[in-house]
Amino acid sequence: MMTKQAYSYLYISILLCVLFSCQQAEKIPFSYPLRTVESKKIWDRAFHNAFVDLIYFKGNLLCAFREGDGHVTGKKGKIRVLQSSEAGEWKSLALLTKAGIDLRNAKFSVRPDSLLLLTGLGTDYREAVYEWFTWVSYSVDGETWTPPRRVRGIPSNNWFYDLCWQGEFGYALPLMAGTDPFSGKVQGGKRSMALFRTSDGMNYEQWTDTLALSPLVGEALVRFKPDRSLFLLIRDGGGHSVSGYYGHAEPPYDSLSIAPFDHGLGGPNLLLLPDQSWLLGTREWPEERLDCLNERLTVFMRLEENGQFRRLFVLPSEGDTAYPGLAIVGKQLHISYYSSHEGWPSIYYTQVPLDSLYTW
Amino acid sequence: MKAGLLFTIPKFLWIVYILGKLIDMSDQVEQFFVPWSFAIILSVLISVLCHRRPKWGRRGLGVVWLMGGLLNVYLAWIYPRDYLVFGQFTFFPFYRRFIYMILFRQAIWMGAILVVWHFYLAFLFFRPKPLSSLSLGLAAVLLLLLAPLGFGSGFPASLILLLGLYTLYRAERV
Repeated sequence: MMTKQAYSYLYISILLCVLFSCQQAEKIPFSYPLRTVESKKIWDRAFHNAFVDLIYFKGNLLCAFREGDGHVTGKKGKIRVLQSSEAGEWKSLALLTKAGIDLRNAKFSVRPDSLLLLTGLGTDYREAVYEWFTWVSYSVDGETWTPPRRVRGIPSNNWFYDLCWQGEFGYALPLMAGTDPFSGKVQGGKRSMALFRTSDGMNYEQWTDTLALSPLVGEALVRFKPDRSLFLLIRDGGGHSVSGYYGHAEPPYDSLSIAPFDHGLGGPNLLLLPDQSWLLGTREWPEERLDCLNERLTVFMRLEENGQFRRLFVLPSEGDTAYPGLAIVGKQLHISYYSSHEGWPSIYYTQVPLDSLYTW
Repeated sequence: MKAGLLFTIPKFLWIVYILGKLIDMSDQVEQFFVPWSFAIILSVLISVLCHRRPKWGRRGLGVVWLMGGLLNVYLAWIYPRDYLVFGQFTFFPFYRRFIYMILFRQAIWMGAILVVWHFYLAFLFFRPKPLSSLSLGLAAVLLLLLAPLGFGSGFPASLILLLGLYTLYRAERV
């Protein structure tokens, strides 16, 4: 028979476990000398919620991100799509999976015929990284998606970070890696890049020669101004990026002029503001700042087309962070991103009045 | 018998109500429909056995503890990363925080507690002696603690098993 005392010990132990868990749930305040825009957590269900994008589509804000159990490898990542209600709450709208493949870096774009696209990186982990490929999925309403399928026309072991449409074509800068002839695995340190274009999101054709860049190029963004001129940003240096490239081109974009960019890029996003200036959101490493805070941050800066930049604000962030999704609705800039400053990588959301960006 | 039914029906209606509250987690049901259905069917079968054939119901519960212990051996010492899956399904944010920040990071010894707990219960339930208050208390607490794991514990399977445990307790007392 169990004594009353034993029961008491059992109940007290359980109570202590619960209390300890609750105590751990307290928020840790974020502070930083640069202007900080507060944000709220909208999703933390998986252990690693990351690589975010945001779009305003048919009157709804949609947010896509990867759910996994680690930054790389581990279990296969899935892409979750959330929708914001008018009340500001977020609900799960769709979950994209592909058997045996880690899906990540989902990015929205809208085809000229108003079809919504998600593109991203698919990785086949067999022992180590076995293969990279870019996938695409289509939706009419953001809720029902076609299964993620490999894009065609780009040499194998490819991935493009972002697809941007101009006129009837979408443009992307895929990285293309070699394949080890003996193991068949990706040669991640031997990357090249070129501009590709598509008319449907699935079939691509190479549009420029291979660019003379570092073998560790990564995430690359292509953007267009109303005068149809092209502006681009390319991450360099692999995981710990403290440099990159920026560049320009004029129609028909068959020749790109590229120069070094003196700031690291980690999950960058670039948005043309209504005043025709560029807003860049990216990860920033401690050694890129003078404040000596030993943490990675998600930082936003105004970027000139000559590569000069000025920091505007940071978002509460720490550790594994960045990959902001940006969308302008009315006079508000909507931002979603991920950060680990409250425990494990979770998805956050905030709004910034556009007018503030011009005066900061 | 009729009085028993009068008590059983509201209990099942309550379970159905809780299930209704979980409709917003329908994507998880869709994703894990087969193992989830299996867990519920198994728990109902064991609970019915506890009512009709208490001896076999008790063995059924013993098998559940044994399987739970083996699962935790795998989770704690072979692939602790799988503990993270349970964090996704839980109803309570503090359970999630506990799994991600404490259980996963201290998987070896935290998992050991769960392994010992399960195997000790399996031993008690297979032992040919009447169940003591300790056995019933430990089993009931474990089933209650598993319930907030949601689909991770095949919710409401652990509550159905708790009902079976209660039936077994009454049967053995008689």
